[in-house]
Amino acid sequence: MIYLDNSATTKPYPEVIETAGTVAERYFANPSSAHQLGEEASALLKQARQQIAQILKVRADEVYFTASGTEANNWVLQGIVDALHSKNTDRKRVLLSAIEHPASLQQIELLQRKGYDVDLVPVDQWGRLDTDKLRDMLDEHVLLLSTMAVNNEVGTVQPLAAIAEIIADYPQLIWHVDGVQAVTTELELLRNKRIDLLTLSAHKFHGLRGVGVLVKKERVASYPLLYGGGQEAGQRSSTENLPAIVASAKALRLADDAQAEARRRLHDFRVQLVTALEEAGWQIFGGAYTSTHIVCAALPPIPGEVLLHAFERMGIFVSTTSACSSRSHNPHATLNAMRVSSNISNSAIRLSLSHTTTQADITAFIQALPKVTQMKGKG
Amino acid sequence: MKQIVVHYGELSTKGRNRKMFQAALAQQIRAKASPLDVSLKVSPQHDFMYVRFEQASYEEMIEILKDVPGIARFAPSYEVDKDLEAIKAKALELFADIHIEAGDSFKVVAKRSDKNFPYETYDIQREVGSVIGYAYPEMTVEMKRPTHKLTVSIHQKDKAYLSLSSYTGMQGLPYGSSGRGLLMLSGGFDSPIAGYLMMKRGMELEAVHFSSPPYTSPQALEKAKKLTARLSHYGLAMQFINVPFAKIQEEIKANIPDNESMTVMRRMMLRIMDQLLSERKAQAIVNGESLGQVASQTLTSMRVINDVTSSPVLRPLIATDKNEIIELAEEIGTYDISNEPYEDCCTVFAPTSPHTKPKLQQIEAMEAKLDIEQLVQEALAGITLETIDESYLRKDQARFESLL
Repeated sequence: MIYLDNSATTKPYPEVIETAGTVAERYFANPSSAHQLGEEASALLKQARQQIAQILKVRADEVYFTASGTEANNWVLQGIVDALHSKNTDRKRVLLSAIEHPASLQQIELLQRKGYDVDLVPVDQWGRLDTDKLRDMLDEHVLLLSTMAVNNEVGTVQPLAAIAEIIADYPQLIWHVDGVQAVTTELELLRNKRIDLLTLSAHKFHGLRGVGVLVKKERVASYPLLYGGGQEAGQRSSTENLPAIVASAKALRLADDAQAEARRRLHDFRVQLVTALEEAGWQIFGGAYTSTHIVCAALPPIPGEVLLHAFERMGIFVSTTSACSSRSHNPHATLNAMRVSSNISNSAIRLSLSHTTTQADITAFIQALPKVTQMKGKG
Repeated sequence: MKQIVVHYGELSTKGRNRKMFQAALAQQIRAKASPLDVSLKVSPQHDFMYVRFEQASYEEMIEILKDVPGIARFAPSYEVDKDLEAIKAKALELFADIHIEAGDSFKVVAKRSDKNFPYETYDIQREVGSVIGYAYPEMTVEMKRPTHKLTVSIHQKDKAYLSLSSYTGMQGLPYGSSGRGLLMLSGGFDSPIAGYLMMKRGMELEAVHFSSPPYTSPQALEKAKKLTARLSHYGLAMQFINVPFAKIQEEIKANIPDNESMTVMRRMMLRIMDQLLSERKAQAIVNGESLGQVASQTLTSMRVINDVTSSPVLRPLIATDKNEIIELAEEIGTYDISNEPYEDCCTVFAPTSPHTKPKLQQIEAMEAKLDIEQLVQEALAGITLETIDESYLRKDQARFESLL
């Protein structure tokens, strides 16, 4: 099996599964219990939070656990946006980049119903946020800007340093970065000091699903996401999913350790893939601005789904541009925002790599490529 | 051999006692740094001290020295051969390591104690200055207030030393050079800060914690130990003295009116502290009281409480505001520990409306119902001692290492 769909989900590391098993068995007590078993579970939770904070270079009390990246993004655009607005009622503008994940974009209607002015910041032909347009759209009424670090469909790395510089004149603006796709090779980007809110999802970096992380800097006002027993500093009640949380902390450490080496290796793999695809006449998106672990390519007019199944028959798993939207009717939001025509974008597939991708995987894909490509000749 | 030059600041004014202060500082540096480096040599000179080492990195040593009381400032000093080309090369390397902004200025200061060195002070300055000026055209030369000052010392022996960055130390006096005190350490924000300030002033401390199990939790005790561990970062390993206090609290609850119980409790604590002082051969009691903060900290109240002892009770926080205390707690790393939610003074015994203006005669009359001497002796007989150092804080980390 050649698995090239790591942006949809990654296979958990064996060590991560082992940690989850051990914690589930040995530290099963509720971290909120006052007895010694609860105390041990609580100390372990604290240590996991501390570890994540250290890796991301934030404070431990700025790290909150949620059940998913989607949940974290919902918290940002609901509880947090409302809390920010309540402190300054004249601020009601929310800016989202046009290529955000559906976990953010699908909330626009709700935001508008609540009376917020929502605007999309366009991207250029490479899928990079248009920083000139962003500059024009900013004013003192903007309460939140949400951008991605690495786009999930095309892999474009967003110019976070440039964005930080542009918004420096608007200290009131709270900046949310969806870093879900960035851990594999662009973790360093997420350590930008200006970022106020950061979303991560454990199953995108070989952790288990069921754990999202929201980093919320101290200055950011918030209403709780879930009410109840007061866990997560009262912001998100729910008994903590300790086995998966501890496993996530471990997965993030392993990803951080593997980062430098993975960047070099995946860069080399990407060059091989792009060269082979271009030679075979495929169209590549994102150009030089793409993260090394994602390749988005199309072979029009063959539909992406047909290409996906053609590779599948050879034991190679790729995806159309995003797993979340591949079963919906509007599967190519990012390519559309890049103004790629729909007869081309409908043909797009995404190859996504991870630390565990091997040269053998890449070679196998390149060997399978002619067979799939010849479908075009047969038209 | 790597070298850092440590300057003492306030110590220079100590006259005949200077040697004692120097020895205390040297001992402190050795204790902190030798686990990192077996080749460590600390050699006190008249106005400064050399710290020489091999295995540890400069970064590791800087990290240690910045939290040692008694150091005013310190400067890593890099050893090179006594050769002008080698000196120039090292100078460039040092500038490459620091952040230089457009508009910065620099200056080279040469000191030549070896008069046989073929270049005069002025030549060295000009030669070294020109390679830097050439490499960093954005910097200007400035004699009076340069942004960066490079010192080149040509020693009598066969080496030259270069020094560029200088770090501010913790200030204060060397730990252990101002006698020994007993710190009343609860789990709150104030008492660890009081301890820190006295340590910075050179006082060696032992921590005394009053616990009342089962009314107080094991976690509250743990918290006090962690605070002790954090404090020991600024000194040496510390004695943690746990005083069992439940019996006394029960007696107070049974015999003293609720609104006066706080006053009597504090008087009992001070009586115990007073005895501990002679047992532990210490000279002062230190606590985290701040004027007006809570009921027991009004002047009237403090006077009545203080009446049971003639020992010095030092209150370094007496004139500070809560936000200043919190700020310092964040700075020295006790905030997160103090912020843990476990109560130290058990809620069972907390009075609902403590009297802020207790009268000594009335309190004494009430206390007649208690067998004070017996209670104090019982508490003292039940104390437990534990030596705690910084590694106590990494206990959990080690415990969970395989999982994380």
